[in-house]
Amino acid sequence: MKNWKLWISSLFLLVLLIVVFAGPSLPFVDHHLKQHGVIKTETGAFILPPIPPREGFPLGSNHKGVDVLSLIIMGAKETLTTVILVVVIRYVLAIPLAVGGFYSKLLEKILQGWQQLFSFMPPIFFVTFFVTLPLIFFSKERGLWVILVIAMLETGRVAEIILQNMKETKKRPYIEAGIVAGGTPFRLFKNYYMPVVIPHLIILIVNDIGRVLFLLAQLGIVHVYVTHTFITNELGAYEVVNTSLAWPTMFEKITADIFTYQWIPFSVIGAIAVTIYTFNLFADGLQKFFENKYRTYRADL
Amino acid sequence: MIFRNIFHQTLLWLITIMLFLTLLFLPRTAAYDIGAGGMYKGATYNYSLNAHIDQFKQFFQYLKENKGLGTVYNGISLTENIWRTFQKSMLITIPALFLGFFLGIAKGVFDYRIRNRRGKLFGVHTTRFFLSIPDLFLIIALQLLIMEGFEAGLLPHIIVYGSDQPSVVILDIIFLAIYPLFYIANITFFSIRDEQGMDYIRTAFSKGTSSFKVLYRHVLKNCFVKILSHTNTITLYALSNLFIVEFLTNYRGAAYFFYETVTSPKAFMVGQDFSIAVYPAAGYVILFTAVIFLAKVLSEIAKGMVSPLERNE
Repeated sequence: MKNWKLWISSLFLLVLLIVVFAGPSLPFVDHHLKQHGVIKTETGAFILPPIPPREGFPLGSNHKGVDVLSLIIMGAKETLTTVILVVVIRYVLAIPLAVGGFYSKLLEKILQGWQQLFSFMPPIFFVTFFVTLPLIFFSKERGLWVILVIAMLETGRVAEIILQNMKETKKRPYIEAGIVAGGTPFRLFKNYYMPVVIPHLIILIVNDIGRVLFLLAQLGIVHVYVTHTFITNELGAYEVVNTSLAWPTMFEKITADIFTYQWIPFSVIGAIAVTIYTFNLFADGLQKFFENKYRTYRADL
Repeated sequence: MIFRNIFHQTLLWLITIMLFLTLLFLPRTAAYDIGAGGMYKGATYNYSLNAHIDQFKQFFQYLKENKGLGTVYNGISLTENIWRTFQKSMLITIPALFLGFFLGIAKGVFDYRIRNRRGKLFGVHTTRFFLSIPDLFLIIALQLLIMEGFEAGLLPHIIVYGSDQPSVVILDIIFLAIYPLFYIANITFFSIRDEQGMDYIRTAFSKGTSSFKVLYRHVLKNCFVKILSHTNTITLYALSNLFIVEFLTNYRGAAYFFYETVTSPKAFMVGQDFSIAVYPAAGYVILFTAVIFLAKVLSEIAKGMVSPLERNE
C-alpha cells in the first residue's frame, strides 16, 4: 500500500521508543551525565565547556560540560511521559464531556463556555499565570498540578471538535436508517457513531501529542517548567532551580546561547522538531489509512 | 443575524474579562512553615473569599482615585505605557496576520492548481511539511542562518536582536506569519477540494466561463466562509507566538511586559508576599482579549459580506 507517511513515521516512532526505553544503555550515551571540566585536544589546546561539537561530543556539551546528545536521550523519557500524561488527562475529561454534550443541552453549554473562555487568551499565558499561584508554586506535587492545568486548558477545544464530529455524523442518511430500523440510542451510539468517531479521535489524539510538546517547548523558552526545587543561596534566599532532564529545560539560556553556543538550543529544538514532525506525520498517515479502510476519501474529480 | 452574533460575542467578551479579573485577583498570600533558624520547610495556601473580594474593591477604588492605572515613571501613566507597548506589539501582529491570511489563500489556490501537474511537490506537500514542523524550529533556524550567512559573507549585516530595529520588526512579522500562512493554505486547499463537482461549477463551465474565473469568482467565494471561521484560531496562535517571538528577538512589546508582570520569581525569601503586578496585568488582559474579540467580529462581518446564505439565515 502506498502510504509512505505511515511507514516512515512508524519507523521514527520505533526509534523514539528505543531511545526512550533503551537509550540509557546505548554505548555512545553517557548515562551518568558526567560533567566535564577543561579538556585538552591533540594539538595541546584547552577547551572550556560549553564544548563545541567534536569527537566524544557529537552535539557538543552544555554549560556544565555534559554531553548534549546524552542529555537529550536521557531526557526523552521524562519529556514524553509529561506529554502523554497531559494528553491522557485531557481526553479522559474531554470524551465524556463531548458525548454528554451530544445528548444533554446543559453539558453542551458547559462545554461551549469552557471552550469560549480559554479561546480568548493564548494558552501560554494561562500556564504562566496559573503556575505562579502559591497553591501550585509551593506544592510538593507541582508537576502534577502543571500537567493538570495544561490538560484542562484545551479540554474544551478538544471536546468541541469531537462533538462537532458527532453532530456531522448525525446528519448522514445511514443514521436515519438506523433509527428506522428501530435501534435504541445505545445501539445507535455503539454501532453507528463509534465506528466513525473513533478513527477521528485517534488522529486527534496523535496530533495533540505534538501540540502539547510544542506548548512545553514554548513554555521552556519563557522559563516555565513543569517541575522545580528550591535551594538556599548565600543570602538566605531560596532560589528556584530546575533539576529535571526534560528537553524544554535546556532552553534556559537560549537568548544568550544563540549567539555563542548555538549547538545547545539548536540540538534541543532539533530533537523537539523531529519528535513533533513524527507525530504529525503519523497522524497524517493514520488519516490516510482510515480513509482507505472506510473508503471515506473523496476522489479528486 | 450578524448583529445578533456580534452582540453575543460582546457579551462573551465582557464575561471573559470578568472571569479573568477574578482569576487575576486571587489572593496570593501564602503561610510559610518555618523550621529552625528561619529555614523554609514548606508553605500552605488558604483561599479566603473576603480577601478576594477586597482585591476587587481595591482595584476599582484605585481606578477611581487615580483616574487610570497610576503612574510608572516621570509622570508617564501606566495606561499610556501599556498602550504604547501594545501598539508596538500590534505593529508586528496585524501585518503578520494579514500577510499570513492573504498569502495563505494564494498558497492554497496555488496548491490546488498544481496538484496534478509537474512540481506538485511544491504544492500541498510543502504546506503539510511546514505545518508539521514547529515554527519555533524555523524561527531559531532562520536566526542562526542569518547570523551564519553574515559570517560567511553571503548576507549583509542584519540585526536579529533588538527592540527598535526596523529589521527586527520585519523579521518578527515574518516569524509570526509562518504558521498562519500554512494553516490558511491548508484550509483553502481542502475547502476548494470539497467544492469540486458541485452543480454550480458545472453550470458556470457550461456557460463558457474560463476556469480561472470559475475558481476565483465562484469557488473561492464559497470557500471564504470556511476559511474565515478559522481567523480566531490563527489570531490566537499568533498571540501565543508573540510571547516567544518577542522574547527571542528582545522586542519589547506588550507580550513581553505582560509576561514580566505575571511570571514567577526566580528566588524568594521566607515570608515573601507572592503578589504579582495585578494592575498592568489587568490592562493587558483587556487589550489582548480585545484583539481576539475584534478578530471574531471581523470574521462575522466578512462572512456576512461574502455569503448571502449566512446573511439571511
